Amino acid sequence: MSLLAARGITKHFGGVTALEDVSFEVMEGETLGLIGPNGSGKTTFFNVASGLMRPDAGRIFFDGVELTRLTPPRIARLGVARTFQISRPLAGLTVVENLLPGIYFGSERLSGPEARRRAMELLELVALDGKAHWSAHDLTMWETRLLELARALGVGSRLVLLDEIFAGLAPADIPETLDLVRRVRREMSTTMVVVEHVMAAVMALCDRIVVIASGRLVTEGAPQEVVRHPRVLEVYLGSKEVPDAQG
Amino acid sequence: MRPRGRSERTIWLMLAAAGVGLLAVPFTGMSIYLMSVAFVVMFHAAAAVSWNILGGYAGYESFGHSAFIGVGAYTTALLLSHQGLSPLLTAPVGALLAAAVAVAVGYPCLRLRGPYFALVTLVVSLAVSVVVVNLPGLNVASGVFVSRPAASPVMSRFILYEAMAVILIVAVAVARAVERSRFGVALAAIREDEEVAATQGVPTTRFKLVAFVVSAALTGLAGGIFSWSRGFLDPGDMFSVNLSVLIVLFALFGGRRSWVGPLLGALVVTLAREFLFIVIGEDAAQILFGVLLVVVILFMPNGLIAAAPRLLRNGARR
Amino acid sequence: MTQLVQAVTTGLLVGLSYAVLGVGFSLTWGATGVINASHTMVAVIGAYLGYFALAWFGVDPIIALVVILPLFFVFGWGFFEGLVRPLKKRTRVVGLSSVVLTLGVALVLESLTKLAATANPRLLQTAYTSRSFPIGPARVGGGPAMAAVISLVVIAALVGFRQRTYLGRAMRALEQEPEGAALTGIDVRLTSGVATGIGFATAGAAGVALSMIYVFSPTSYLPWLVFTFLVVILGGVGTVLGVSLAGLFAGLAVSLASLVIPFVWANLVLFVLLILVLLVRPTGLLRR
Repeated sequence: MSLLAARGITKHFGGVTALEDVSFEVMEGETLGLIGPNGSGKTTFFNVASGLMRPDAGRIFFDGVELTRLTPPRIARLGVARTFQISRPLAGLTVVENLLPGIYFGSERLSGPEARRRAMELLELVALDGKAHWSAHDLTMWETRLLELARALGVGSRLVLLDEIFAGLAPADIPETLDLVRRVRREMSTTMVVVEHVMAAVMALCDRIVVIASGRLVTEGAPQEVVRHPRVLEVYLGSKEVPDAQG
Repeated sequence: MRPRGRSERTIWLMLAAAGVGLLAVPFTGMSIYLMSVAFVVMFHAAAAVSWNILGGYAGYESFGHSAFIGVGAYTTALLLSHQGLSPLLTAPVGALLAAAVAVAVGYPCLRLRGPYFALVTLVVSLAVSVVVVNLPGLNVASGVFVSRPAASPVMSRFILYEAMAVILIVAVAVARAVERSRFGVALAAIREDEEVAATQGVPTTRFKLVAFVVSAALTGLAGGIFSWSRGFLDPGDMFSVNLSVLIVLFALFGGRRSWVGPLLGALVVTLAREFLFIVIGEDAAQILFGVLLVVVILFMPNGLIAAAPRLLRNGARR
Repeated sequence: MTQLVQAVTTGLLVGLSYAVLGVGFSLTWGATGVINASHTMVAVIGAYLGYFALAWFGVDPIIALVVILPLFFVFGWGFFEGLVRPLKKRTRVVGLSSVVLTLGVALVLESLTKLAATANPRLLQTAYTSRSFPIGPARVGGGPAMAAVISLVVIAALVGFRQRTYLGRAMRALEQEPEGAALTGIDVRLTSGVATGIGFATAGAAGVALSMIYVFSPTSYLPWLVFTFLVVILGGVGTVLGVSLAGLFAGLAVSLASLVIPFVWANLVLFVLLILVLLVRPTGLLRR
């Protein structure tokens, strides 16, 4: 069943075309990778999906409901959650307090002790519960990324848009992070769209991959097929050689 | 997150007791002068606590709050002088009109942030004052006479004190209720990162407007009783930019995280001002007030409450 | 018809004075990021200095500018070194803090002025302010005419400075790219200091100019502040041409509005205009 459907999404910024007639679907329960060279429009797509930007053309649907002209709060209420590429913790608040707005006003709309319980549950899931009452300002960069994830889950766990959660990680940390994402996916039955450059993570996590370059859809399909697709190789490497799975 | 339940109830009880105490003080035999000073302090505190709902909790610092004081003040003053209605009855009307103004200007103004919001609210307050002062038929420009609350000066001061004490209690109660509510958490999120708050489901536009309107209404309420103490309303007083900036100073000085900061700031700065007015005169006092603004911005950007522990520690070391 | 021509001419001349006021304000904002709410109070002090130069020494305010301009330049630079630099060291985002800080400065200056010169409104009267000159079909008061001359000279000098001198070009670089400019070897501290100094100097000139058009008192800084915001927000921070055009436009707007509506409401037109511009394009209508 199609959970997120994008049809003909187009977005221009002045003279630059960020997205041109992009259409694809995300099936419920799957993890879809969204990859492409830098500046190909991936984060723009997330911005359109979460309502921070309005597309110049095209429509986007979540579970049958049209998102295209809705405000970000409305979209979050429906259960579309996202993380930010550069973590944006609410620095003046504690870790727990960072989760509360999403839990109060997102898709679950909990309140009181129930909401606080939920916040602690999510923090446990990402192993941040020990620092629940720390100021978010004092977290390490890695921890703020965990916070981003927990915060997104607080909004809703049906669909999460993850923006480069593996960026800048030491290779040794990748397996641990993969486990975390898999655990979240398993326990919350989350459908995910994952924007990534780290190919190891993409190959390990994704059921399907969509490739975007210069704002256009290049191809989509199973990971093993996509990495061998000549256009994909061209777009990434400028040649027709096969990259190994480590990217 | 401080836990709720018993300790929350205890705090509300303590606040209620303080409120009752505040109302009871005049019965211990306060002089007229003390009641007048207390009246001004409570007025400033009420305005600052109300301002802070928008300025401190949501992070939208308005430099035009004197507009709401003016609207409230003139509503009660005009209803008193033209219809003979007591401000005790009409102050809520002043609050409503102030709220209406906030609704009218709020939506466009709140689209701006930081210094632009500060500037636009400043200009809007000037515009509101021009409109109110020049309303056809009401003759505001030549001044409005306001009759005293009671025949005897003591009784007048007493009534004014009690009325403003009630308003301060209401303002603190509302501010605290907001702080402890989901709405308050939402405002804090808006303050920290409005875009993130929006993607978390917080209806930012609507909530900012609510904060603006609530802040305006409470300020208008205070203004409505304040005009009753004036005898004669000169348009300059009620709508002065000085007053708007003073309110901001109270909150900046005392701290903006909770209702305590603005109240403390209003108390300290108002008393200092009163003292200086007597000792060195109004102009010299304003000079000190301006210097204080500069000092606060440079050295205590988070207010006295946040800076006090550090200052005390440094002081003790010497 | 002549009324219209009259209004247009007066409006343009007065608008030039708004422009001079705005240009200095924009200069400081562009070079330092500081929104100097005390800019117009400095202008008011300039007006008073010109007034007293005439009243006490018989020196025409325009001649007095010879003293006022360098004096205010020094004050401006001192303001930068003494207040702006510490502020920038302690605050990441200077915008709002600078508004509060400079409002504090404005209040101090206002009270000092009140103490020194009383709160009574002043009207400048020189040999030419009571005369009027024909310009085409219109008759123009001597005051606005001289104010326009002062404004034009100051604006022209400023444009020349910004185009021809190293510091002037450095200022423009700083306005466009605050972070990058430092990397190109520009002495940011010197450039900002000079920019603020020039800003204050133009404020002094603007004050003298405005004193030839309007009655003024210490509290005049507030309506003048509205003119300034309007002109700078309308024209764009850091563009002398934009701000100048915006000044002309604002002068015209008020002048033409006064034809149709009572004077008290004419100021309201400015306020509404400013609010509208802030809502539509806070970065300025004429900025690229």
